Amino acid sequence: MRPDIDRYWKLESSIHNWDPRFKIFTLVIFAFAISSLHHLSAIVICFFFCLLLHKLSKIPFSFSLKRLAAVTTFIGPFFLIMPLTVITKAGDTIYYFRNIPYLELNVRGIFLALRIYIKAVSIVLVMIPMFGTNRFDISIKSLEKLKVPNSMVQMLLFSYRYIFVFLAEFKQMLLAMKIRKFKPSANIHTLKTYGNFLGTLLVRSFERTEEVYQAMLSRGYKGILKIPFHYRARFSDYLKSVLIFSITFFILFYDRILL
Amino acid sequence: MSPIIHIENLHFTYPDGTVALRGVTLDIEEGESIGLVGKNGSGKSTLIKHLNGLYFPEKGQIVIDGLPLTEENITAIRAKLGIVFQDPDNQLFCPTVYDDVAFGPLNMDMEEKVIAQKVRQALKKMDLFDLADRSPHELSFGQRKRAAIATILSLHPKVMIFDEPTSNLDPKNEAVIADILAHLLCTRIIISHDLPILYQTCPKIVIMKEGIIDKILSIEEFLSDRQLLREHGLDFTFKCDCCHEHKQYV
Repeated sequence: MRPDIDRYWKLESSIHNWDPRFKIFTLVIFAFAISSLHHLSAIVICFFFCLLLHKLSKIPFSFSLKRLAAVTTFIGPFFLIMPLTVITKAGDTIYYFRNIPYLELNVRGIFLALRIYIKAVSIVLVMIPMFGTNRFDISIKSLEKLKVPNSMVQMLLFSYRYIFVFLAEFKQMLLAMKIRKFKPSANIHTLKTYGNFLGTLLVRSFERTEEVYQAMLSRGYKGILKIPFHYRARFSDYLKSVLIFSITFFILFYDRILL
Repeated sequence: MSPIIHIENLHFTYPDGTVALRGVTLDIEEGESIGLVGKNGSGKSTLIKHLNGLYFPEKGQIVIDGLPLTEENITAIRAKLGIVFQDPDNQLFCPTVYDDVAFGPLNMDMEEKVIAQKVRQALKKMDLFDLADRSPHELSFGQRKRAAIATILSLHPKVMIFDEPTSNLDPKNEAVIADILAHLLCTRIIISHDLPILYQTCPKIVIMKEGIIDKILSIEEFLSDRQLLREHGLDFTFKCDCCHEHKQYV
């Protein structure tokens, strides 16, 4: 199994060439700005800008569609739930169902769901170039340069490295259960089996952690993870950040003042 | 000349009360290749973890290349003595093979040019240069084993310790690893239950039993004593039993 997130880090683009520290700092703030928008028109403008950013990164859109599908699966039900549950305010358009008097469909709920959905999609479209245009470890290591604690950075890096090992172990154990005719059902035996399964996985993870730590110590590890990569800020990195910050400011101004 | 590894009356008990070492005394000369054998639980792994300072002696003394094993000497000792662990997934924890091989030299605060050179050399020696940018979990098990060796080779240690270097490998990869082990110039300690590998790589065998050194003998003496092999759980002749009816293939 291959880690997907940085599959296209070797491509060449203006986003790839952007210093990861500047890129992460700028785009995280931009993502927060997107999430704070109120008006649909400002959100739509943002969405098109995110599409442009994604296009500039040269990451194939087909690759990003999977992530967007995941967002859709999560937020899609909002389109059903929100029109039915949103609190009615004066001026709302409401449709009633014949024969179901207690059920009312609020059109504002649909627009609320739409706003949330477009915001989520836009943020994902920003995140993909943010983490997909550098090697993942370098992106994570730049977090340290942005004053994220080293221990947190190391945890992220090791999670990224070992998630595939644990996944492989998980699958092996699941297979071992299946070949012994284990069929999950709603009973105590299933719960006990899953409990043992997770417990064993936890114990194995703990043992592996110990062994990895010993392997690190034996090669001179003293608590700080060093990665052979040099960050070099150029004028173009500042320029790109200033450009995005200006756009963020303009969109926020448009959303809060002009509309 | 003083030995490169001097172990004197080494005792160690795990926190749960299990006594692992009960007075190990052993000298290993520079350039020697030693096979460390014994049943599971005989104390082999505990002993090698002491040599690298992963455990500290409860009682007794260890001197590596003239340096007593103390907190102050630990970095210098770890640069002199490297361990290749049994499971390469525990040894390869960095996002790329290159980073893993560079991990040791980086921690030893070597200059960048030197690090790049050492990493290149180690990867070339292990025939992994073209896979330097790959993530370890993308490699085959045999490649991961070689990558794990490269992580230690890049430190240019005087002593290399291998814990079951051929476990879980197919015969082709076993042969590759055996060839690598046979051609290393440093002092080697190989923990293995794989007698053909020991035969190819270790002229001297140290047998451990219940936390002590039971015997030290030549590989020939060791292999010719079937009773001794049986006693230490290493009698492999049962593997040939299936061939009795098909001797023409043996």
